[in-house]
Amino acid sequence: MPGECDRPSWRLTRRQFLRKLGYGGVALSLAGSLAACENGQTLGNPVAVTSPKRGGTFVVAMDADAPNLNPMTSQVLETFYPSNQIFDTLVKYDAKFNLVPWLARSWSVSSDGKTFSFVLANGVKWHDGQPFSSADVAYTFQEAGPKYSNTYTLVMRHLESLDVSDPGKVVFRFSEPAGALLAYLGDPNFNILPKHIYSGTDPRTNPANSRPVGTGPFMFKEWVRGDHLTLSRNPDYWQKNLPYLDQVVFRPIPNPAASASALQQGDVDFVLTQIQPVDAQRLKSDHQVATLSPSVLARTLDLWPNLRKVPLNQLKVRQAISLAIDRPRMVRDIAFNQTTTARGPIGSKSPYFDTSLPELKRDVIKANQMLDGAGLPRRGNSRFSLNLRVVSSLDQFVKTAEIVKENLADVGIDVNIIAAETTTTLDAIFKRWDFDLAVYSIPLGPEPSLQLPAWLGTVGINHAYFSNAEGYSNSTVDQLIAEAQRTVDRSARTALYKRIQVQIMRDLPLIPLWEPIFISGYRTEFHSAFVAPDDRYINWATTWKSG
Amino acid sequence: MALILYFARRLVWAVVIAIIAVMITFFLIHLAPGSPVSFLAGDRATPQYQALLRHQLGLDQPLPVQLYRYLTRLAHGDLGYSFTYQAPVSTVILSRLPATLLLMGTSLVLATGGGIWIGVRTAVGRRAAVWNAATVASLIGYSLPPFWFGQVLILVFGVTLGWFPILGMSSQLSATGWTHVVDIAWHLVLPAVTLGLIEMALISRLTRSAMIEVLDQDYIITARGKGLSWHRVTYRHALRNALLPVVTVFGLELGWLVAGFVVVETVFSWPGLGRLTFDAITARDYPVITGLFILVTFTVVAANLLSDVVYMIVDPRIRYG
Repeated sequence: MPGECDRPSWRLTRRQFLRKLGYGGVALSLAGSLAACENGQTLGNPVAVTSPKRGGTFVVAMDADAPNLNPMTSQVLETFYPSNQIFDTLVKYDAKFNLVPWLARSWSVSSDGKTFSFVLANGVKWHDGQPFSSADVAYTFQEAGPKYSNTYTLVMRHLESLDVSDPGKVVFRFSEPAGALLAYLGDPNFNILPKHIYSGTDPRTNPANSRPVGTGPFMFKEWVRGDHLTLSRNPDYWQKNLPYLDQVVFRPIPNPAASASALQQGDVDFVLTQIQPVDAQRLKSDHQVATLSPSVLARTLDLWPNLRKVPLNQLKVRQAISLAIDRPRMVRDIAFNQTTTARGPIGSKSPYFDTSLPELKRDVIKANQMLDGAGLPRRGNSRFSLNLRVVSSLDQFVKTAEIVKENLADVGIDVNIIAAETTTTLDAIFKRWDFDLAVYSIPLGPEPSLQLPAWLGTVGINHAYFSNAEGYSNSTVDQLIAEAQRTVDRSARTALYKRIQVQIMRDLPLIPLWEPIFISGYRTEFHSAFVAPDDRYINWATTWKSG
Repeated sequence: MALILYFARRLVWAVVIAIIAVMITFFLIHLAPGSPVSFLAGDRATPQYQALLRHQLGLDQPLPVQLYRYLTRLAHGDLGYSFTYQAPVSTVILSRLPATLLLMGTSLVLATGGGIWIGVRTAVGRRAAVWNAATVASLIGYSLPPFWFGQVLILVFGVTLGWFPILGMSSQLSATGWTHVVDIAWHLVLPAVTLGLIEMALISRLTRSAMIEVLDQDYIITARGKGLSWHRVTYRHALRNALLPVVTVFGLELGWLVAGFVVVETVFSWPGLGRLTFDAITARDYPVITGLFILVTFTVVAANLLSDVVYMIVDPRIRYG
């Protein structure tokens, strides 16, 4: 199938793109199309590339309505998608997770990694006409952040001071090296909030959460809860000539099959991450629709053993379980070969993925031998039985659990699947540690070091949600993680991550299965529709419509 | 006088029942496994953030304290603040109410009008093949699960034939006036038919069996003997009495309709209370769930009061004392 990547004009833009990179400037829209080809699977029809045009309404389908539009007090993606358009972050990322100057036009980092200075863009105005300044940045990070932002508690714990004496400049000072700061500064949770609206109020109950005022390319227009949310073009946007689209409309469509049909019929122009692999197969033959699934969050879908339980506390048993799993079948039957098997805790799309990790192959005979050797003989057909918890609403997870059950039956392990709705399952896994096995997925991106302590560090054994429920504790891993957090140099960090991945695969506190896939799709009359390394960061400032 | 006293007594009871229902709901929801924090915090949430959130939402307080706070607020007419929507619960519920009322009104009119008419015709025309077929159809209709029936309607009339839209309440977002009304009516057809047909099947079956019983009674034979027209005998003499059980069941059904809404609104992406209920339960948004239960309780209680009134109008023999 001819992809966008093959056409001659593409090579031209690619050259331009590389040249621009050489000069230090970044052409965002070009970076977007690059990503579409190299990161995801763009399957659209070739469209003649002309210069971007103004106009057009862009209808976006989400799986649920946004609960509110405050990107700091709300931590869910349905809030981030619209608020990324209404607000701006200091920096953004291109499709390869390279930094793109945004509200911060340039920056410098001290050699010890403790001081970060940013020069802010000129002439930025809030949608109500008030001027934007470093005071807004100070409000966001000093007043609101510590109380309401999760990403703040993750990245900015060691923030000592924030110098905003110059309205066009911001200086962050940390007591410890903050190697990961720039990888999180573009997080939607760090969209800059207007001080003149939020200061002196409770940001959780401020009416602006339903009628936000930002600096971003699109302005809030209308919100009929549960039906549609309309944003209109910001005519005074501080980036000249942007955005191209007149309107962005969000529609909640809870049913994934319905959203795929709506995309095909042209009722919506973009479906965010909820296209099922089976529908994506069907959409491949439709030249008016392109699908892609980029993600730097580097998820793998894993089988978690509860390390407190006999016999899962034995490494041999975990290795045997890993050997019994048919990973290519999961990729084939669940995702129709649109993704890959997992080889470690970090997904292969992450720059920190250790490519030297071996493919995890199925070997039922060896698995049976190991279980025999572990003193767990078959009685009749079965050696022992385990329960397996999984969130029932996550289709890919449930199907994975079913294959795990079949695979483990072949080595004499009876698996009893307990599929329950999200909150019930999370409660059992994290709060009560009431599971033998669980199918779950950890987000270890964009910077694994910040998430790793919670999921696989000794400090993460704490009954909190999204923590180390398996009960894995290895002092070597703890030390390596701590070192990675302090290390500013990226290649040095990569080396540390490699050692962490190798150690985890040696201990098997989780058994990697395959890389889950979150497919988005858009109609091909829209260009630069996915200019982000992950849907979490999606921004449509440079998206435009042809024809 | 006796009547007013009767209603006053009923009203007091209604309030007592509502308060008990609120307390039971409150405890049930809080005792269900899972916490809103797991939903609100996102799966990158740090333990510090989770603790912060629990404190901000007041979930770190003992349950009786939380109940006391809630009831005091409620006594002032304040339903509280939604965890997820970060807006007053009353605002959240009211913003979804019109969509549900529209869907409910339309499907109820369809169900009662069509159901009673079919019920009468199948009872009177017991021996005609058409009406026998209708009887069988209504039996099947009542057995249909709404989520399945809705999906089938979407596939046939939405996707394959393309006659009706399959999503939400409107497509022309900027339309005003008449175009807007037509647009909404267009979107209303499939969800209203899904709910309406299923309810219609129930009502027609009830009406039919009640009519058959009444039609065999002596006063009907007398009425016929007097030479009254078929129409007058059926609708004025027989139906009026046959409606009593229908009204009873109808009052009870109103409460169950909510369950139907959760399903149908999810299938059709209809922005009403049913979907709000579903979302709120998924997110463990305690204030919104409790608020919705209060609303449902009042609806059921009001529906029961209403059916008492309808009883008296339909059957003058009924007197309350």
